[in-house]
Amino acid sequence: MDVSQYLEIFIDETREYLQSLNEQLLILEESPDNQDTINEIFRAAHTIKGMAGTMGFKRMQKLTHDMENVFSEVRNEKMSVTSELVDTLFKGLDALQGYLDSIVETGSEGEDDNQDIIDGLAKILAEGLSKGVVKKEIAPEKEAMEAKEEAKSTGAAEDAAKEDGKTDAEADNAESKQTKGKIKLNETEMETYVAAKADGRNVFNVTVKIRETCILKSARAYLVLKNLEENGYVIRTEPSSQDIEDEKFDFEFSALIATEANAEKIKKVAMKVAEIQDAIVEEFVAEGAEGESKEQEAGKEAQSGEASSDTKDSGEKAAEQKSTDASSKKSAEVKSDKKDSEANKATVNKASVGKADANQANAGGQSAPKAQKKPVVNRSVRVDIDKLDDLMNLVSELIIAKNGIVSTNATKNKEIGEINNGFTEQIEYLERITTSLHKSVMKTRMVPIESVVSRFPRMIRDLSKSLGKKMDLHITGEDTELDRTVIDEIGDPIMHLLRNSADHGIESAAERKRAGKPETGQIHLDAYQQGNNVIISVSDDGAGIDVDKVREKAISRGTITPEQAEAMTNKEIVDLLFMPSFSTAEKVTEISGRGVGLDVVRTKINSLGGTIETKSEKGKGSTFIIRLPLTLAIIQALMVQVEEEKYAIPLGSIQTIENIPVTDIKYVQSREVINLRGNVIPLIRLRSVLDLPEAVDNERLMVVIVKKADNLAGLVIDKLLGQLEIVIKSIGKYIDSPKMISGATILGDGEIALILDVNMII
Amino acid sequence: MEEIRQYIVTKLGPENYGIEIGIVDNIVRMQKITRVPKVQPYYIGVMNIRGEIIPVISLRKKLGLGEDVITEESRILIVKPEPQANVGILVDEVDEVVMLEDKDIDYEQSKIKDANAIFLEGVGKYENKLVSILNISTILMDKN
Repeated sequence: MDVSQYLEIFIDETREYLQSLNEQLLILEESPDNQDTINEIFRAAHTIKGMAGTMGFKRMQKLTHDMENVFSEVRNEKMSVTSELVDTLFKGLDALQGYLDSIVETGSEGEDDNQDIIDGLAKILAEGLSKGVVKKEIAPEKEAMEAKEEAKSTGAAEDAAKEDGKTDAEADNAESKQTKGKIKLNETEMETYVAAKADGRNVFNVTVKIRETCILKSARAYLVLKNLEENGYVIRTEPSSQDIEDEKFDFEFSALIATEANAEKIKKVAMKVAEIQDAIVEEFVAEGAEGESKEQEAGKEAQSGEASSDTKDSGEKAAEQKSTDASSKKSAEVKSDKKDSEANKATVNKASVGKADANQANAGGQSAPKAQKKPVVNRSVRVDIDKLDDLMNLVSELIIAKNGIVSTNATKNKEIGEINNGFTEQIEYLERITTSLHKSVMKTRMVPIESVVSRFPRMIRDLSKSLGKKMDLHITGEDTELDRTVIDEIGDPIMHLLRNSADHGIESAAERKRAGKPETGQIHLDAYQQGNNVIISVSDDGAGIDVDKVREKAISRGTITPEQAEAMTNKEIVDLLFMPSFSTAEKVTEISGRGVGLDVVRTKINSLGGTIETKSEKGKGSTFIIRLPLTLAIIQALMVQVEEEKYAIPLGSIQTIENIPVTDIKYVQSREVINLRGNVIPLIRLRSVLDLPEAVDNERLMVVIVKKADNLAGLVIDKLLGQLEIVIKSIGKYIDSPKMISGATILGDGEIALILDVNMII
Repeated sequence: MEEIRQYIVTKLGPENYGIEIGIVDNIVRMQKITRVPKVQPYYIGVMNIRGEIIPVISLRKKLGLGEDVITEESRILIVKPEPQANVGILVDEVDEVVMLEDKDIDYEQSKIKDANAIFLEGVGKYENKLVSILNISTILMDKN
């Protein structure tokens, strides 16, 4: 079967599952008893394994399988969650990510077996189990399996392998086994069961396998059941006897029998019928009430869906059986494991051995993950980002054309001196449509920031370990949405900032204690929307930025002269951190301090049209605030005129527009300022900034008050032209565009207006 | 090697300048050009050609040949040395297209230590006329 067409889906889904595993593992480390988490982990790992197997990525499958074994033991409560365990599992996840990356790049999973991790897992498994409650004998089927596989032969896997009936020896072995509890008894059945137990009779669960070549399955099954009934009382069958009669089962069914005979006898009785491949007889212990949901789940995994018809109302009765809880839980697990290993076996067959039943094997590998899909399914379509870009470009063109019609209409109206109402109305309608079209297209490109930040808890955990500091990361606003292009780029800058906080910000536990702070440092990552901007802030309650140290360093590096340093405000000094090759970390660690961090962060943020600012208080911590525009391609702007030239100022950075008398201008340090409602705001003459000739001031000046972070400034313009939706375009590659021009836009009449970057003017 | 290349011969005053035809996308008449403040002095500004914003340079200013005088004959050659990077080049006049073989071009000229020499690939000879063949990429890359 050609699976290449599924590769993309495989990559996407594996990525999601790996992320989920990372998250859940963190939760598990916090609360090792969280059953939901363990189940979630188990499901995700199992799904990855199944998918990897189907796709023929054997190494990936193998590693996941080994990890899954560990999860399985944890789920069985045979092993406790230790820090070492989590570390190794995280390493495993990284290795899986490595495989995935390699698949993305080269289409193959690479050559690395990650044997060290596999060994590590085996070791943990061995140690954990020896300490654990239940011990299992060493696998007898060692020789049958590959040498590598030995490592993972835990109790559960062993059981499963046995039940698969790989060899007769294994099957025989199984007889000695106690258990089988996936079946939930209803009230009557439970009564019979309890009565049988009370009478000292044995209750066995007989799993019968019919040869796949068998034609009259139901007839064979009937004979088996009949033979069994001669030797005891059949409490129930799985599937129901009706279904067995109707041949509604694969090649396997099971029966619960209360009998005076021993297991061997029962087996013999069952095997007497022709075309029966195998019969596994196990002692049956009814399940308890606790962990019911889990068992049900496990049961569902193991069975094919029609199974759970009789599983209701056993709750009360089962409560009496509390004493048997542990073993029954375990037995439920074994069942599900069996299914796992079947899927596993199936895929291995397909991938490596290529047996005749490859098709069926495939089905096995695929059905397993399918049955365990996430319960909540979003109705969504995956679309190539290029297609969305095309759509966006077309919308841009449409808006330009619309602006064209609007301006033609305006001039025409002036010329004829009358207003064509119908036409104007239609234009307004067109405007509304293009605006909402633009919004919709924009929205399709919006991605919640969650996809970026979800990997950070793991990173902070690792940093916390490697730095030997205690710290917690708190994330809010994961659902804040940003344009896809921004999302792709914003991860690294945020990561740098978080690393910075962890490495430079948060002090060691001892230091924190001395400073009278709680030992565990707190790092906050908050995202939220503010007007047309998205704010992402990274803050910590660490040591804060030592301004004096920065100043010293800057002077010693020759970045600034001592005289300059004297004149600089603290804020300006802190801004020096964003200069290239500037790191105050006393020792260079692998985490940060290579002097590339903040400089790169700022460059990146600026290239995304955003800004970054810093607030810091020594001893109390520091905050980095990233401000990003919501959209990149089309923005609302205020059109202004200076001399005869038209400029666009993004609406997002405009605070107010003021018409002030010239006499209001005051001078502070020979700079022009105005006092606006208590704020002293410096004036910036756009004419001089834009190299235009000075003009004689009118009596009143038109001033656009703009804002950059906390700073305000007033831009003096000649004339206001109004608000316009503009499409941002680049002004070309070779031209050395000045920083204060962030691009250009084409107006309705075909003219070009330059877009001013207020941040660079202030 | 008999390699024949086509060049568009443009004029700046009396002098002929040749631009290899392969990189020329389009030739347009004088357009409205929007000034861009604080850019290299030889950039006149940007213009809008069918929704695309294209910066325009003055070849005269770049080569130190004085101010442009815009006439009916003024043309802007839109060159595209690499994809998605258009530049308009303003010239006084576009004259003709000539075919030059390798042997018609004197490459020694570009080795002269003249300020503008680096912008020249060589000097072509045809019909008793001379044409300085421009090296567009060095012209565009040179930031002065």
